[in-house]
Amino acid sequence: MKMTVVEDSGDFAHLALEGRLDSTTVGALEVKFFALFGPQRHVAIIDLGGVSFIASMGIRILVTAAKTLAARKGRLVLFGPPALVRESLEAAGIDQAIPIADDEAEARRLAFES
Amino acid sequence: MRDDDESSKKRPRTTRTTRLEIQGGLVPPSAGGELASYLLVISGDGVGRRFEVTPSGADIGRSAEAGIAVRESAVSSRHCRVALVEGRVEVEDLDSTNGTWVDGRQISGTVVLEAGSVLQVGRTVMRLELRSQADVLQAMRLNADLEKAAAYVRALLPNPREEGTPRIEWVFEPCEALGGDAFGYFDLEDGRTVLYLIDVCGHGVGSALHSVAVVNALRQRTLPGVDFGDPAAVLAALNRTFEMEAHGDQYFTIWYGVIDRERRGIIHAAGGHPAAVLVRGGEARDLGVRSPAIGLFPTSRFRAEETPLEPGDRLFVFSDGVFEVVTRDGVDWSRDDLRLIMQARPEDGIPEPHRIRDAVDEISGADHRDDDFSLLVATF
Repeated sequence: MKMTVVEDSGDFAHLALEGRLDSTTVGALEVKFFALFGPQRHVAIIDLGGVSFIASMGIRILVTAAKTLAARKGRLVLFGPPALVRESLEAAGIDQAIPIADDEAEARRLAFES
Repeated sequence: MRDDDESSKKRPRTTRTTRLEIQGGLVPPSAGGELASYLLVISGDGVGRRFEVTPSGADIGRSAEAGIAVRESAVSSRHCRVALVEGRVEVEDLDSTNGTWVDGRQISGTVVLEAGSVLQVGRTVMRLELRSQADVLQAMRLNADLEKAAAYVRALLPNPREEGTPRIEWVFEPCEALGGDAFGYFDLEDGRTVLYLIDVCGHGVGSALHSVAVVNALRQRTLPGVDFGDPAAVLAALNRTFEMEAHGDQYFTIWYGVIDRERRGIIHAAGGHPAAVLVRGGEARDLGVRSPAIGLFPTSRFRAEETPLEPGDRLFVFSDGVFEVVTRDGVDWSRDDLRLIMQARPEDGIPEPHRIRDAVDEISGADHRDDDFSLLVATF
């Protein structure tokens, strides 16, 4: 798994995840991932276009990040997951609480819409 | 999760763009002490056993006299031999019937095993490790504790039901000594049968502890005021009881069904879990109602559906580890592929769960599991 900070303006972050999000890769990056959700952060979008597989541990860090932002009245939006990854996210039911956009433009709109 | 308070929608004040790459990786083994070579069984017969490879060497085989005994019919009585030769570990195939495999390739004669190499005989897989003896002693103590814990988890699983209707058989193969999957079935006072399977996120000790807590709540029916014949009510109660923030950030998925023989039907619900598959005369249909996994969101709602059953139906309930595998060609497999295997006719003399497991293993060609493999088959 690779994590890229595409944009960081304090309040807002645009991240991109790539590769497999399974227990091994998530375990290796979890601390660095959550460090990006410090107190200043309110809104984030995460590009999942490069994710080939997501396991339960990958889902867990996305849900925890979304809850962290929601507690600050902020929002996390995911975007661009390949079909199999979208299927896994929807099977776990996280689309009912975390918006999943098709592309970056839609993700930004959902992240900031009132 | 979403919030509609206008004041809370903060746009970025500046657009400072940076690009920072962080590469994931494995934790290196601990250093210190004189290193020795060990074969660790990571899959198959005797997972967790560790053997030091010495200059005097040892045979690997089915024979009780083999230094490393592997109790499998596919393994020859003297299958292959490992020895430390001039500081390197060598493995030699002893004309075994089914061959000796190193890193996925069948060997002939003698080859050198590198640290991290994987040696396979039959279905049993061992990995070569270079570790200090102190390190290994500590690992063995931990392993003994893990084995006790794994035995406890297994003790919670019910025996297969060979009599009556439905007949229930299963396969349970955690990817580590301790996994996050568990399942069970029990009869309600009115004669209906409850059948469930859970999959806690991740695997290992933390996940296993959580799965034990959930299974005990279901086995002992300790969810207050809940009708265990109402799948949606059970899932809602579990969601209230096992909120992830109060349980070490653990959540789980569940498939829960209540079989009513008199009405010839099953009421079922799922929380973030793959749909079960019902096969009738070669036709397959999914039994799944999409709801969030348990513990993720306090506001989650759950609903159940009823599906008619007929004599001869086969119901497959399973965890995602059964189909989230990569084929020998490197292609991600899917649940639809698994359904095709389930649709196929059962084979005489082979329990259905074993037929499915063997077919999946054949497709993946994997020498070890990345996730727990749990599969229940109920035949009506």
